[in-house]
Amino acid sequence: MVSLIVLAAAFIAGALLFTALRKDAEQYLNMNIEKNLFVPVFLVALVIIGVYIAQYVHLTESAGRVSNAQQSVYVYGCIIENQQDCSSLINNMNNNEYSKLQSGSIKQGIFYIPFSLQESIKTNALTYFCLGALLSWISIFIYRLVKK
Amino acid sequence: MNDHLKIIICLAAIFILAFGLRADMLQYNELFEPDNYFEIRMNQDVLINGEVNNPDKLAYYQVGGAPQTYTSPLWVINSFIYNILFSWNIGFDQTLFLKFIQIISILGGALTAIVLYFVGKTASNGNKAVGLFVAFVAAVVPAYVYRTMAGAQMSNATGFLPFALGLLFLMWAFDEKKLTLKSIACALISGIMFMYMVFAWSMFLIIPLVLIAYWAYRIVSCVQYQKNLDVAISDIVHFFIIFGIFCIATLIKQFDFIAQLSAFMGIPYFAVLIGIYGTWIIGSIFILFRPRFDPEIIKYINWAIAAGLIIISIGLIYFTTLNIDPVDRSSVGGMVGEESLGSGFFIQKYNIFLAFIPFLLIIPGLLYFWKEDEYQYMPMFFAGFVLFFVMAWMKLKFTYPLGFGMAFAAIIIGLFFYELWKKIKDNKNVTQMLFVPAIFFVLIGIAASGVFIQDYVPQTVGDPALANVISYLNTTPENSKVMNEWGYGHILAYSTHRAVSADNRNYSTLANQQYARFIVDTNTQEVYNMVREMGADYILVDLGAFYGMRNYVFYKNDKIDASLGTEFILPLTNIIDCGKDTNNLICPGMGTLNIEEHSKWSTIPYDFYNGTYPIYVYAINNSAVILNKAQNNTNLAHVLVGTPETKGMYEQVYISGHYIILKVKK
Repeated sequence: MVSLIVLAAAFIAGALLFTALRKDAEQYLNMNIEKNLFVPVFLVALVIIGVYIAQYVHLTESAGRVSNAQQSVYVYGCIIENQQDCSSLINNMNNNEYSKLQSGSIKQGIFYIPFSLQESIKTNALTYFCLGALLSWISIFIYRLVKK
Repeated sequence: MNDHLKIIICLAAIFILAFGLRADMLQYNELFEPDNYFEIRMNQDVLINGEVNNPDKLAYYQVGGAPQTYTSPLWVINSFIYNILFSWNIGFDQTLFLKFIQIISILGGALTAIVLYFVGKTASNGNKAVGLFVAFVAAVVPAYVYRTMAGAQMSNATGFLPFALGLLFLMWAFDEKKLTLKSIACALISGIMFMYMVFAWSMFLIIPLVLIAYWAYRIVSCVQYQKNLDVAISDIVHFFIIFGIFCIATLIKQFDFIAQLSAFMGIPYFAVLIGIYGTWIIGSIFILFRPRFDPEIIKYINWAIAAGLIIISIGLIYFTTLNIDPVDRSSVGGMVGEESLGSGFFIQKYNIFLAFIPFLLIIPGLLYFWKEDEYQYMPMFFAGFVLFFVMAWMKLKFTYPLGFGMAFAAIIIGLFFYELWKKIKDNKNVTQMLFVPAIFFVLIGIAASGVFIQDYVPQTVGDPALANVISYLNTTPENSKVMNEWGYGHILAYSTHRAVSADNRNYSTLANQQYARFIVDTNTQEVYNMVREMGADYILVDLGAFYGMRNYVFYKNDKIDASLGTEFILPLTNIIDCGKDTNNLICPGMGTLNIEEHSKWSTIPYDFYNGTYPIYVYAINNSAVILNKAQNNTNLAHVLVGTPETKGMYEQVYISGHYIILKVKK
């Protein structure tokens, strides 16, 4: 279980970096950051796509290491299932493939190493980093509205 | 928000992020890496006695060339800080000291990331965005996080901090472009940082390579830019101070770094000697009396440097695609996991940052062709990156330095993209289309580290049976001597204060050979005599040793040889964890085994594998152990099953999981 200090640090870092760099981002990217609804969309997309990619890449090497002439092993990321449902889904797929391999109907089985995206998101530092940045953006957004 | 405050906040954020990612294992009161148990034990000696105990009373079998352990300046610094913070009011507390050491490793990584901000900023002629990018990469790249996590080996974790500082002060010295008090002070500090590294960590060998690569570049670039004499003299003096201090440090330490580099790179001694001292001395003379070329020739020299960088990149592609492996893997040291090929672990270690590598093959040459000598330190960082890359490719244990090297890559990539941004910044759409995905991509690095750190726990947390073994050994008489496999030495010595026969730092060839003989020899009486001679009171064995019997044959013979230990290959050994009732083991896939029946050593096979190979099955604790004929005849099988002749020699006094502690009867 990932410890609270990791998540808290990521959250604080996200909030601080967004607060400090938003003006520079505006200057470098030539876009308004503070009142642009693209920012929360960007942060949410970053969490979903970023965690998926990082987790997928991370497991790819382990999958490659157990692949051989009899089995090709890939990574399968479940988007909506929790870890238990995802494992059970993939176990069924792997068992079916194994049966086919045993019966000789196929020469090489295709197996998967599962991970659940929602579980990964819950425990990944990037989620809390983006949450910190998002809260910072919301605070600035509301502050600007109130000020108006 | 003023610029100064903004940078302070950003650096604070990067420090917090770097610290947090590395702090996950603070939740355990254990160290992460076995080697760090050695270091903390030595550091405790320094804290309590002022120096390392030589000889080490807990390494009772330092024979066959066990090296003297020197007091590392890091242990002195740690002791000093601990004394200031805690000793005056709490005194020495082992748990507190362990926590302190865990945090030292984290600080090593997090502070280095901050120093790298200044390195990146200086290398990019004051560009803060490049500096922040470099610091961010160092904060999150998984391979660098790995060896700077809480409880990681402290000399490694803090090792790149002086290196980064040395390079930073080197650049500050050279940037003065004349001899001033500030430039001399910077050169001295740079040299002292490198000197510290010589005293504290064997990775100091990277220093001469990076410095000489930089000096070689200065030699060529001085021809190109016709620097005035003052600049030339200041360059020579600064380099003389920095490299001179480094050489003095190696002399004090009696390290022949030329010989070490020669052995490490497989290049003849004299070639390395001439390469390093020749570049330094002759190059300095050349800079002093640099010839004057006309601008047309200088243009070609500029192209030649760009071409040189491209050729190095092509060399790297050649090296990686042809799977060249120059490392001699026939010594038993090569069986240690971290000595294996590093290239097979790149995806896990660098994750998204692997994409930096193709960039690094293209950008340096391109950037030099484009901007010429504007970024004069770029070739030095490229040389550093190439060295770390080749090292990581060859050995798993060097994937960590390439994690640090990714910060060098970030400097070069940052410079290139900054120049690109300057070109396209007026075109809003193109800028956004290029840089928004780039930011998206870089931030995924946090997720990469977030995933990576969850894979690791301290050894005793991942292996609770080992924690039980430690608890048991703590109940044995204090002067007990334990015969052990080298991998457990550090943690046993630190956690039990019992003397160990072999550990993975002070190991001796003889101790490893003798432990291997205990496992694979067939003459039980001879093995017992050897154990008595060694003076062991207890022997720690792991049932997993049956899997690795061929490796023990290599240890016994002190070489890896394909013709050795082949008798242990077929049929496959297996150790099955089973349930247990009063008389039987209930084993998945095997059915029921009568414990009494399978607790007697036998020459009669239980079955034949594939109808050909005899197999023998024993019930040992809660495990069914399936052996082939050769394994069945080993001393380990005799001792664990308890043949009549070994019953008078050893007594099984403790079992936990796959670990068994034998007491030697005397």
